[in-house]
Amino acid sequence: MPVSLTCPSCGHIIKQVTRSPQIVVCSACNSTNLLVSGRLEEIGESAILTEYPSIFEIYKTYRHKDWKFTPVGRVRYDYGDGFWDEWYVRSDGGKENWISVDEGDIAIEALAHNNIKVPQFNEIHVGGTLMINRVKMTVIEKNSCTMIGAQGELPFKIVPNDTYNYIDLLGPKRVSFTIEYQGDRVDCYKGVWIDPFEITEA
Amino acid sequence: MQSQKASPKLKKLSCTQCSGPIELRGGHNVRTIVCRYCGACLDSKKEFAVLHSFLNQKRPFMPLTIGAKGKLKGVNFTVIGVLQYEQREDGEVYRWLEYLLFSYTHGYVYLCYEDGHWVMMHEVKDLPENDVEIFTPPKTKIVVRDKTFKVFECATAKLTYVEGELTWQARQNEAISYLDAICPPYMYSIEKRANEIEYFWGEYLSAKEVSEAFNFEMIKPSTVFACQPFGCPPTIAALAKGSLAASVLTLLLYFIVSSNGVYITSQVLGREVFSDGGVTSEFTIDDPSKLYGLTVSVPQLKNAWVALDVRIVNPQETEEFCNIPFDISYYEGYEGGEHWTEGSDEETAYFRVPESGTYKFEVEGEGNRGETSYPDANFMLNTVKLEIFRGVRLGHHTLAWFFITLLVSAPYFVLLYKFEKKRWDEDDEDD
Repeated sequence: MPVSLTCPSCGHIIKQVTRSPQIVVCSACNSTNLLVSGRLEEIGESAILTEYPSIFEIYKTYRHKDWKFTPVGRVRYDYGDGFWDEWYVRSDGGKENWISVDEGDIAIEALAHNNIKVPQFNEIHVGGTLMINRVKMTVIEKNSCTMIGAQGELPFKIVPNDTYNYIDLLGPKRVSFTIEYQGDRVDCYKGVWIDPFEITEA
Repeated sequence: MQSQKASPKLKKLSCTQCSGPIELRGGHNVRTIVCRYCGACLDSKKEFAVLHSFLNQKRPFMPLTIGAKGKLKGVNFTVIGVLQYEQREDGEVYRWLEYLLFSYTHGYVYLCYEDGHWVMMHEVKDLPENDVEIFTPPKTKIVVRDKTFKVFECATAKLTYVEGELTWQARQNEAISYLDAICPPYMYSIEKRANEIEYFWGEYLSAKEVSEAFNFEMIKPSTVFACQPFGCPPTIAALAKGSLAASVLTLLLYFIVSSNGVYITSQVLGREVFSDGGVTSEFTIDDPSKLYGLTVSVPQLKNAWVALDVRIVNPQETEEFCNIPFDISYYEGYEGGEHWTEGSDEETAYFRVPESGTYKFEVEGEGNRGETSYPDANFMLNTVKLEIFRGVRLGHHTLAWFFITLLVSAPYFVLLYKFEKKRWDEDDEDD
């Protein structure tokens, strides 16, 4: 059941869809708000995302095979040669995932458990392979990115211009695996690459 | 929190080699732009520096031009680049175009054109479920996304023309090895270049669909393309397949229901049949509701014919219930060292009687040798054998339904066979 929140900056009523977002970006004034005890506290203004036509629209429901989901927020990252959008989506069952979209390259991912041992960023090379949970995966990208904007509801605090390193891997049966290195913190996301032509509006 | 906006995107530039105008229509994954005027390959990631040049390129005939916009599969696309590939085999040259299309929502797809046929292909990360080499014998099965494809063609082609934006750096005359597998209307391709291998999923599009989408005059294809579906309306295909299934079922039913009956008795008559007529001894019909079979055989019949009238009469021979004519002939000989036969020395007919009881057969006949139409006074046969069977089930209706349903389905399957033959034969000829 969506909860109504009031934007402290412009008074716009924002419908909170996810269970416990940390950040809510107001669609009216683009202010970035921290959700504290059911109330929004403005912490700044988010970058306005340049609107390129996207396969997803926020709060519109989509289907990939049997999976129904609704994008509720997104973060845009610049990786030098271009950008990609990380869509924060809520599935029908209430589970939340991330979908990364880069001009037709689309992967659905969720945070993997923490006890996965991965090498340091410097030790990994594009074209090399890594064994992740006994599955051989190929490194297809090694890069760094900068957060350049956000929209909607997000489960973590965003810091514009924040930069981190990442490794993208491809495994058998379209399995995707991303390792994010931010300071001492390493987060792993596991998922699957999907075909944009298999996504339909629900 | 600071605001940050995406930098404005460059839409036009002048070629850094010849100053010719270049329009940019692709997304940020475009890596190179090839100038249509001078063939310079510009690096879109390094201030459009000239990487190399495509020399003496001959612009091929193009049904579509760069910049054309159209909607395919509900997605808006813009043509941003074009490539021509050439394959030479046994003195024949095969050429096709691959248009690179861009969509903000769905990324990059290739629209391939050959002899009026169009296939939309896009890169996928689906690898075959079985091990596949790039050179695999035709018709080898490959399973991808739970669909079974058949290998159609494996070959090596070279790049002969490039123009516009690409997501990679093309090289003049660079070779690609490819495997095309089909599951019409789908195609699955594996492309191998010097240092990479890519997988593509494609779907056949009708010439009408593409010409209407991009608003150009349709070029009608004259051949059958690798992944072209058999263009039959689904209702007719369903009717034909249903009819074929029904014909198989009716044939099975025929074998289940038809029966030659149970042998009751046999009677043998002599040469009197051909003079005054013969009468058998009595036999009993105990179930008049059943159909009876009468098989008449003339064992010595060879290169001759007989015409018999078999009448079913009561034991007193005062009442006739049924008259069954039999025309039996049997011929054999040698021609060109081969033995041939025609006809048979026996024939079966079926009858019913009104009530149970005892009956007799009255048999009268004539015959002659086959090679003369004049009566042969010496022609004579010694034995005419009559066998009776009870409870014969003919199944003629079932057999009739078998032929009707087979006839309904036949045109579809004949046309399908011809279509598939053309699809594969054309490729076999290529091979």
